[in-house]
Amino acid sequence: MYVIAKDIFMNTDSKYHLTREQITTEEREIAAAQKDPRQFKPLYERYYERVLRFVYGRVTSKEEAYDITQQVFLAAIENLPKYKSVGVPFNAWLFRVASNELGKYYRKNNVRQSISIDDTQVADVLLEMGEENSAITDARLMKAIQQLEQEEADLLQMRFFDKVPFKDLADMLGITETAAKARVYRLLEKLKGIINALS
Amino acid sequence: MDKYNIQRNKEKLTDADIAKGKDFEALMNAHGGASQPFYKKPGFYGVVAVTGVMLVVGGYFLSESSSAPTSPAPFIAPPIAGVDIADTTWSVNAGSGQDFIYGTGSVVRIPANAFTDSTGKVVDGPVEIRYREFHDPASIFIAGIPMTYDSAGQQYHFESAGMLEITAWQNGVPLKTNPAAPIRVAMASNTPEDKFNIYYLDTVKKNWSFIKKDDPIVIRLAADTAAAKVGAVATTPTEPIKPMKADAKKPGFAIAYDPAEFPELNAYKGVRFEVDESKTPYNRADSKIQWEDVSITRNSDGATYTVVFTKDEREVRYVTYAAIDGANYTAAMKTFDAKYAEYQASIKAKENAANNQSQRMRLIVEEQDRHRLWVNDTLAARAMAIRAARGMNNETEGMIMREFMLENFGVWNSDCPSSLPEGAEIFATLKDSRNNKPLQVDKVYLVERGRNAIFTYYTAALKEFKFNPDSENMLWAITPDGFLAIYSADDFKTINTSKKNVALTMQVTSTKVKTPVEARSALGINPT
Repeated sequence: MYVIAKDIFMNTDSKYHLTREQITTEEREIAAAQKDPRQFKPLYERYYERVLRFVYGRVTSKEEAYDITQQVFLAAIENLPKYKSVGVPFNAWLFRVASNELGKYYRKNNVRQSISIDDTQVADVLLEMGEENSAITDARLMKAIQQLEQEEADLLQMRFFDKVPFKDLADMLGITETAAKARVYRLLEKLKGIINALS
Repeated sequence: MDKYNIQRNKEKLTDADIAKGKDFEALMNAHGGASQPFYKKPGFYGVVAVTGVMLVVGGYFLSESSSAPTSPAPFIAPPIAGVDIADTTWSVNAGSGQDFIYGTGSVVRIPANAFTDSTGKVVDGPVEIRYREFHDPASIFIAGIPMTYDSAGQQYHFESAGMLEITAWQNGVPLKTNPAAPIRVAMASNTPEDKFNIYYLDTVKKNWSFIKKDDPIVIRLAADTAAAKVGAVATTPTEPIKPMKADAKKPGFAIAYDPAEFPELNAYKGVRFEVDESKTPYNRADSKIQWEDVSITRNSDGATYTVVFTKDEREVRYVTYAAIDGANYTAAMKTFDAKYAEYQASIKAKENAANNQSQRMRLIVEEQDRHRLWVNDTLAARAMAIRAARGMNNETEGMIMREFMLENFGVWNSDCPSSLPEGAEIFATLKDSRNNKPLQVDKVYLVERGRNAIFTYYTAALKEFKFNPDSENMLWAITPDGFLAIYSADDFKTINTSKKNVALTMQVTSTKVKTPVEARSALGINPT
């Protein structure tokens, strides 16, 4: 029996997903920035907000988010001369850099990964899992989230709390849009399974 | 303690917040420029602190790479001397081509004229194909295939959904592929996941080259398909063909056809198949022959039809367009307009239906099933029978195949870049079980059971050795005197991860392994 949330497969407009022409343009920008770091600016402008939001969702304060985001771009620009496509879009590479920088930050500062959630988003997730929105299910969802692997927690955060469209999600994860949908579907099924087990 | 710090209703980032943090000049200064004093910028201390961390990590990477052997060893180097995964060899007539099925159920299609010599000339005559596959960490380890890729400071470790190596030889001389007749492989895979990409191992550049995203194909012969489980898949409406007005001066045929076979023509009367003389010049002598049979096939371009007339051994073919005679043309155009509007509406309706959650899941399944590819049912049945006979028919949902179109001979892989395992970190030192002295090896290989990946650590990196304590881990190495050394999954369970310094005593085999079977037995990995 497939009971799938009504909204999870809705595509919202993407401002990051690139057309083939845009990808070609971006490849030129990357090539230019590999020779001259100042040419990195269009890429910085394009992805700064997305990276900052990604980081902010995973730390506790804006100040930490600013610092880590700056560090992400610093690491990116310093490694850019060696950058070569390995089958994942630049966007995906950048978010991998961001994940690495976050991981370093957690370890060095001995802090846990944060997950940022709004009440309305919790209600949405529960609704999409076919669960009643109540204090009990809310608490169970919070417990269920604690059982997720880091990649799953990132996916949950990006799709439901950062509201990243599937096209962007696919680019960021370096997978197809179909695969991104399937991955979100499996994540919801897993959460639902845990919640049911907790019932 | 909870794994995650869940923050409810955290303050949102505003546009002003985003603008406040965005500072390209500060980034440039941090990168090395000095046009503005960076310490005057907000966030300086944080950046300096984290940069310090990065420099330490950078040093680690440097020390890691500097410890790597620098001798010009072969790029694919089986670590156990004299032990390698054996090839399966097939002989094929280059001029005619042939399909082969490997022991795992993979299908290799060699078309006619698939080989060239070093000068690019198409070769004929008998050719020997050498083929082998790697589906588990043991086979990857034994064959010595590198599974790491470093790009722009990001170390990627490949997790594989299956890997193959294929080469072709004539009289002991290696051949090349012919781009005009590409060889295709539908490799049987043990995982249905669609997170993998296709890569080619370039042994000259000593690097993996990304080819394309991998889209696994599910070959189903059983009725119990995933689509059936979730209900009937919505049918794709047929796009009607815009009628072309027949030209009475051009040759053409009025042929009675089964409307069910050509739904795109269903609505039209007065259809004649008008010869496309640019492709197949019309021979008027053919009109004098009393043909015994005629067949019509719609071509892949969607616009033309091949009409074949046969009598005894004789056969003539014409490429044709479906055209409407003058008397029926106006009515046909009206019908077309109506049908096209219907078609567009049905496409729209389908898109709308796709917004329905269960329908969306069906579409995902449908998309995954879309490619039934070139492996026809007969080949698929044989492949599945081979897997069943070997006890490998583990997929109740169907047989997973991954398609490769070979641009070159060599190693092809369906891979996904993954991170090093995490969860526990120790400063590991290695000991030799034979004498309890430090074990001197260049590198060790971390394997997680159930994951088709090998994580290579040069020994200098063992001071920050990470592994996932929730996984079933194994550590493999080859001693300088050629013995296999293993730190088993049971050994891993005894590691006290709260201690920083841990000595790992690797069990060294009492005799040298001489075959892949012995190696597998020692490693504790059965073939998959």
